[in-house]
Amino acid sequence: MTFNPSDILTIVPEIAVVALAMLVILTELLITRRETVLQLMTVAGLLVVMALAVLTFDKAGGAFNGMTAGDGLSTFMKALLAGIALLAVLMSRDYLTPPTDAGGEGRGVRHGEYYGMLLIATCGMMILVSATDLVTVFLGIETTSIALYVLAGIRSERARSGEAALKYFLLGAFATGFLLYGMALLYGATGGKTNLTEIGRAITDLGPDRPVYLYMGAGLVMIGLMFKVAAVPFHFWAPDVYQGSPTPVTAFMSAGPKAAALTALIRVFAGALPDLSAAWGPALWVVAALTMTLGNIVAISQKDIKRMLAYSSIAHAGYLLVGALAAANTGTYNSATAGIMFYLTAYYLMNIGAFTIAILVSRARENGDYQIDDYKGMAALHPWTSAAMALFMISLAGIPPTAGFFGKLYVFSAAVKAGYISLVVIAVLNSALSVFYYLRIVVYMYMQPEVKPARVRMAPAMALVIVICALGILKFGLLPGDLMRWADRSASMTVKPSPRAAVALNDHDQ
Amino acid sequence: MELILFIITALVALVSAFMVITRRTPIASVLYLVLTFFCLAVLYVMLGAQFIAAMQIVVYAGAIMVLFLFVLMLLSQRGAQTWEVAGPMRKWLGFAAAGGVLLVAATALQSVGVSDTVLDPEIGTVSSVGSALFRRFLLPFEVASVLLLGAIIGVVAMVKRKPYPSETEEGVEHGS
Repeated sequence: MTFNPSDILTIVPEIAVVALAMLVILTELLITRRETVLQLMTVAGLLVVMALAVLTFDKAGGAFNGMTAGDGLSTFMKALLAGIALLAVLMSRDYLTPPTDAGGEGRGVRHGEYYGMLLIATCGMMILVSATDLVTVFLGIETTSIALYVLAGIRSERARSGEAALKYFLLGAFATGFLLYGMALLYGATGGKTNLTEIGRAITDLGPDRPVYLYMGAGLVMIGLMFKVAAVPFHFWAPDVYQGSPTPVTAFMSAGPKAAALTALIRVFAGALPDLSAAWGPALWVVAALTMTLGNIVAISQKDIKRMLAYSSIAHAGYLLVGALAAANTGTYNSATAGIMFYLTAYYLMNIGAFTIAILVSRARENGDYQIDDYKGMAALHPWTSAAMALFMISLAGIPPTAGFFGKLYVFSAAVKAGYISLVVIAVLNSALSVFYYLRIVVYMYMQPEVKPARVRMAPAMALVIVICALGILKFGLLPGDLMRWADRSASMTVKPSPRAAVALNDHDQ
Repeated sequence: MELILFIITALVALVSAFMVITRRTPIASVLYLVLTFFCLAVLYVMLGAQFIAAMQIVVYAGAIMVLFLFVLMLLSQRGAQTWEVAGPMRKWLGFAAAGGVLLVAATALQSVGVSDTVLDPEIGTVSSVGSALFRRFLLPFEVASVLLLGAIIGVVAMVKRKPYPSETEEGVEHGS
């Protein structure tokens, strides 16, 4: 129960992110209206955080009395989250400071506060991915959510942004209530345990006669986490919030919190509640099938690219839930978790790339709209940007040789190994369906006559984001081996808080 | 003696909780809620949880309720002070939800059973709460500070005067 100084090693990335957040906010007070300095500072700081996350790799085992784990899964995810924040920061400055003749989009936001909130959200997600106790799971989710509510509404001069923030806040608070009630029931049913390992052990000790409210607790926790992943039928907030939020925030929101909540889902359900999988397995199966089907079908009819990408992100959450289901199986835990990590990396690159181009095209329009029709005939004017967009769309659809293809391949093959063949069939059919609306943009860009040419003005930071995303997708699509090996190694080093895994944890005397 | 005190506070708590949901004016509801919280604080003391009792009064009955009252007094206009009456459908849904919660609580109580086992009398004292907070829950305690910091910065970022007044059509009415 004593404080072990070496525990601090496991939370070095979190400490660095919070320190960076405070530094950025304070710096803005000293140097006003020097946005480039703030952005460079944040980018440099996030690179350091990424390096720290990689350096603290494999400080495995529990720390802080089993509150957090610095295992492979959490360090991989921390590096990924820092990367997501990095690209989101890179694409933010030009969005927040529009050219003077454009329609004033993004004015009135102080960059230091914006970056600070982004970093605090990142810190919350880092806590969430390494949480091995219900208390830290809850705090991680709340820290992330509160920062995201603010980010969604940070352009409060726009009615849509305010609407997005309010909707997200009210529904998010409601979901938090579900989550917390579920946690309280789990705590009660397991005789006062909050640590995930101990919960798993306590449920095994209970034997076959488990109280009903144990199941209710598990169900309510699942609802809370499903909300954060935006899985059907808890997805209603996602399209409006994604559409109304500032676009860099949308890109960040659709990649980061999804990844973090999914990791928490794996840790809680595959880790602590494997004994109840007969109950939650079928529920997760249905949710996964519904999520990908509804996401894809509704995405087809969207006219606004932000809404289309929002529904597409719901569909991708469905594919990822297939992987989470496979991770609940002890035999396929490693391959499924590694597949999910690969998929999340690929998804983050292609999604952020697509959103960056969406910002550029919308900035070229005087009304700042995000219509899909604006992409008509774009290839003739902007061959490189169009090529990049086509690559992102092909990757999102999961066509080789892109990273999106291998992400799906790894996740689905793990699910087949785990025996979820019919679910994988549904997933593959859905992927085929999604090709329609992703390739529609490619067709618009290359094969349609231009109506009103969108003259895209490229900004250096935006170009950098697009190049990073495109190169990453090609690299992981042509040579997926390195990333897959790293993901595999990370997954095998997970502190599996399952009752059968012998994990050395400090004793709890309280 | 203790039993009598328990019965009185429990009854007052129940009655005032009932009043919270039946009063038509929000201000009355809030005042009854304060009374409920005070009764709960007394119950906490009787359970030996002094720290939680003190927090109940300082944080809930004190700070949060005063905040509620202020918001209500600042926001509400004359004549618009009553709740909107929900439709019958929503009423029944509410009953169903409340019944579900009661059912869960009942099954939980039933499986644990009511017993006379005395908990460790030290468990609710300030010192044991403090040592739990700074030993076992050290990390969550620190993370909570990040959470609060984020919330404070967020509130300021959202409501304060914007540095550059916006010229968009939507921004005119809200513009500073």
